[in-house]
Amino acid sequence: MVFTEDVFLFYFLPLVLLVYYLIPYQRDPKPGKSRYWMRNLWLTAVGYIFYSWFEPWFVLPMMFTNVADYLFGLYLGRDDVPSGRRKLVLIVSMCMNLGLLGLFKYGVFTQENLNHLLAAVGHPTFSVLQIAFPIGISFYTFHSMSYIIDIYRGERPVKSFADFSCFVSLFPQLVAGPILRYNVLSLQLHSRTHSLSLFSRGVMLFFLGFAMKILLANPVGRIADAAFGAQAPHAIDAWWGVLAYAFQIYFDFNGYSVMALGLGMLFGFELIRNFNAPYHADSITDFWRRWHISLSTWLREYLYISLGGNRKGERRTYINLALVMLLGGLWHGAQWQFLFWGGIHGTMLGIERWSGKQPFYANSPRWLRVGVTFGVVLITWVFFRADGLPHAFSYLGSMFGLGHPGPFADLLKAEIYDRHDLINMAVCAVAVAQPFQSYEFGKRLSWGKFAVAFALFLAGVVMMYTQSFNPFLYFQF
Amino acid sequence: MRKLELTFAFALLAVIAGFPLIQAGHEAVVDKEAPHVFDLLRKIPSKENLHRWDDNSKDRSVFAKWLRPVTLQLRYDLFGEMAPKSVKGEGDWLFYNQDVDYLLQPTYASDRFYKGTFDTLIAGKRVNPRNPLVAMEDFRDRLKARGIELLLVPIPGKPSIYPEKLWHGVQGQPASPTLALLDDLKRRGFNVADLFHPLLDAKAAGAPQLYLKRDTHWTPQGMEVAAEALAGRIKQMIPDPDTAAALGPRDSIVFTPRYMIKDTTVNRWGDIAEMTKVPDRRKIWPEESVPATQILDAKTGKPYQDDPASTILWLGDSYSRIYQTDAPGSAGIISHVAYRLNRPLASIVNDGGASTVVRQQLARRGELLQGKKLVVWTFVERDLRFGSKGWQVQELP
Repeated sequence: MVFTEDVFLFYFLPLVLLVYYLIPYQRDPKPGKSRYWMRNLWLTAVGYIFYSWFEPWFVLPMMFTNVADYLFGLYLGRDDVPSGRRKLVLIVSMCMNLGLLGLFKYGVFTQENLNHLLAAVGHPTFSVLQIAFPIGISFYTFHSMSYIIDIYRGERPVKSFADFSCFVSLFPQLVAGPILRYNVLSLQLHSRTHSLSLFSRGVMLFFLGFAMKILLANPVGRIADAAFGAQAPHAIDAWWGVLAYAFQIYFDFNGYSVMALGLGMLFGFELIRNFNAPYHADSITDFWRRWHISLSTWLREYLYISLGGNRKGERRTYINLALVMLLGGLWHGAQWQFLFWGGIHGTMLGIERWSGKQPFYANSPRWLRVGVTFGVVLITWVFFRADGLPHAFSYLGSMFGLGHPGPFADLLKAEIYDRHDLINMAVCAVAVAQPFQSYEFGKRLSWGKFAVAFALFLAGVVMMYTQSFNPFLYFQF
Repeated sequence: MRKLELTFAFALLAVIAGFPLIQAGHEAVVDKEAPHVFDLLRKIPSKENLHRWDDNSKDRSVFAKWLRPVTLQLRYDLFGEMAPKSVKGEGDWLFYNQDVDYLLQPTYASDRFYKGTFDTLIAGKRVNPRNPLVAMEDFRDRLKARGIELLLVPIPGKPSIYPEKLWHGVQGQPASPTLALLDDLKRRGFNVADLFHPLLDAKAAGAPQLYLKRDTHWTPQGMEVAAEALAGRIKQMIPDPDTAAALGPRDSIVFTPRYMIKDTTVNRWGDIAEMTKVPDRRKIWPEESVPATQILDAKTGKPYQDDPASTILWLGDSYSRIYQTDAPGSAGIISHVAYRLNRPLASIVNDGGASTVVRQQLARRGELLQGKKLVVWTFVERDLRFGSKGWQVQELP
C-alpha cells in the first residue's frame, strides 16, 4: 500500500484513525506500562496490514525480526547479564538482522558476482536463485538494529511487545523512513500528546507531501525515465534527463517523508525531519546535512562512531568516512553503481574535510557554490538512476558529449520537451529554488496556508486518478 | 486558531471519509450492490486478491469516473498533455510511445535489454528468455522437424518510416535497429522478409501517406506496398503450381484470377487518438479517410475468406487485423497477400500478441499445421522489446 493511492487514502487511513481514537488510553498506567499500549497494539496490527498489502508473506521476516529483537532487548536490559554475554547477544542480533538483509537484498547480487568470478577463471557458472525483495526491509532492519544498539549502550528496553513492534512497524515510517533511532521514539511510545494543534499540523504536512509526490515528482519522472531509457541521448537531452531525475527523487522522497511526518502527527508522534532544502547546499558536507537526514544521522550514530569516528587519528577518520559512505551507498541497493555513488560522495566529503570542511570552491559567491554543488550532485545521481555501472558511464559520456547518439536519438526530444514537460520542469525548479520548506511552512498555520495546502491536496487527489501506479522510488531500497 | 485547526482536521476527514461513504452509498443505492469494500472480507488476502480488489476499487470509483475525464480534458486544454501512451508529433500526427521507445532504447544485442531478467536453461542451453532470437530459433527448429519453413517478417513501426513527422529536427532517414536484426537473422540462416526498404522506397518515390496520422498502423496504401513485397518473397520460397499462377502487381493480371478487387473508403479515428483519453478527442482530431481495396471471391463476390487447409499459415497482430476483420473487411494484408498469390491463407491473428500469444494459440490448434509448407510470422518491430508475454519458447503439439 502506498500513501498516494485510493485504498490508503479512502479506506485504510479513515478506518485506522477512527478506531485509533475510539480506543481508550489509560490515564494512570501501572509503572512500566505504556499509557497507549492498546493504541500501539492497533498501530502494530495495521502496520502489518499496510505492509502485507505489497505481498502477504513479506510480514514473516518482519515478524521474526520483531520477536527476536524484542527478546534480545529484554535480555540486554537485565542488570545481571555479564558484559561478555551482552556483547555476544548484540553480535547475534546484528548477524540476524544483517543476515536477513543480506539474504533478501544482496543474495542475487552476491550470486551474480560469484558467477562473474567463476566465469573469469573459466569455471562453469550456476543458475542464479531468484530471491524476492521485501519492500522497505532496509528501513525496518535499521529501526530494529538501532533499538538493540541503544539498549546495549544503556537505554532501557521496552517491556511491552506492543510498544516495541509499534516502533518497528509504525506504518507512516515503515517502508521508506524517516529512519528512526529508538531513543527518538521511546518516550513517545510511552506517553505522547494528542492535540488538535499537532493533528492539524500533521494534516498540513500530509497535504503538502501528497501534492509533492503527485503534482511534482510523478510528471517529471516520466522525463527522467525516457532520457535514461534511451540508448545514447544527445548531451543536452542527457542533462535534461538527469535534472528531471534530481527533481523527481527529491520531490518523491521528500514528499513521502513529509507525508510520513504528517501521518505520524495524526497519531501523536513527532518523527524527525528528513530533508532541509538539500539543493540549496553549498558543499557536499552541507548537502549531507540536508539530504536524507535520518539516514546520515543513523550512519553517524551507529556506524561512524562505532568505527571510532574522528577519535582515532586523521588517517582513520578518512577511512571511516569512506567506509560509511560506501556502506551507505550499498544500503541503497545491491549494485556496483550504488557503491560508486557512495564512493564519490565519500571522496568529496574527504576532500572537504581535508580543507577544513569546506569545498575547494569555498571562496566563490554563494550562488556559484550552490550551483557547483548541485552539479556534483547531479553527476552522482546518474549512478543512482542508471541501469548498472556500464550504463552510468555511458550516460555520463553522453552528458559530456562523448556518447554516440543513435540514428533515432533526436526522437527523444518529442518525448521530453513537450509543452507540459517544460511547464512541469519549470514548476519543479521554482519549488526547489524558493526559500519555504514544507516543514517550516507547516509550523504556523494560517487561512492562506490552508487554502494553498488544501487546494494542492485536492489537485493531487484529482491527478491521482489520471496517473498510473507510481510507487515511491525509495521503496526499492 | 482553534477554528483554523478544526478546519484543517475537518478538511482531511471530509475528503478521506466522505469519498468512501459516498462511494458505498452510490453502490448501495444506484448500483444496488453491496459496497465492494466488503469483497475484501470474502476472499483470502493473497497478493493477487488484494491487488485485484485495488484495481476493481479504482474501476468502480464514482469519483474516478467523474474526475478522470474532466482532468484529462483540462490537462489537454491547459498544457497540451495527453495520456502517456501517446506522443505528440508534428502538426496533427500522433505516435504510440512504445513505437518511439523501441527506436530509442537498447536492442536485444545490448546487456541493458536484459536488465532484471535471469538466464534459464532451455534444451540444456543457458539462455535469456527475453531474447527474441531464442524463441525464433526454437520455433524455426520445431517447424523444420515437421517439414515446414518459417518466414520472419518484422513490420516497421510508424516512426521508423516517418521519423520527421515525430520530430522536425530528425536528419535524413535513419535506419531502424530492426534492420540489424534482419541481418543477424539472415546470418543465422533464417528466412526473412524486409518490409522497411519497400516502404521507405515508396515514401521516397512520393507514394501517398503510408501510415495513418493518428493510428499506430499503416494506411491501406502502406499495407499494399508490404503485401506486394511479401507476396514476392513467398513466391520465392514455395514455387508450387499455385504460385506459378499467382498474380503479379494489380494491373498485370495475365491468368484466371481467384479473386477480384473492389475499391472502397475507410474512415478511422485512430487508436492513438483513443489512447490520449482526451474526452474531446473526436472534436480535436478529425476522422481520417483513406481509400482501400477489398478482396472478393471472383466467383461468388463474397469477401475473401481464409482456408485452414492452405499450405501457408499466417501469424500476425493488429497489422494483420486492420482492414481485414476491421472495416471495411477483407482489405487487410492477409487478403492482399492471398490476392497476389492467388490462393487463400490460414491465419492466426492476435492484437499485440504476435511475439508469444499467436504461437500459444497455434499450440492449442495443432491441426492447423497439417499440410503446411510455410509459416509466415509477422510482428511489429516494437514487439521485439515490448511483446506481450515476451518471447516465450512454446512447444508445438
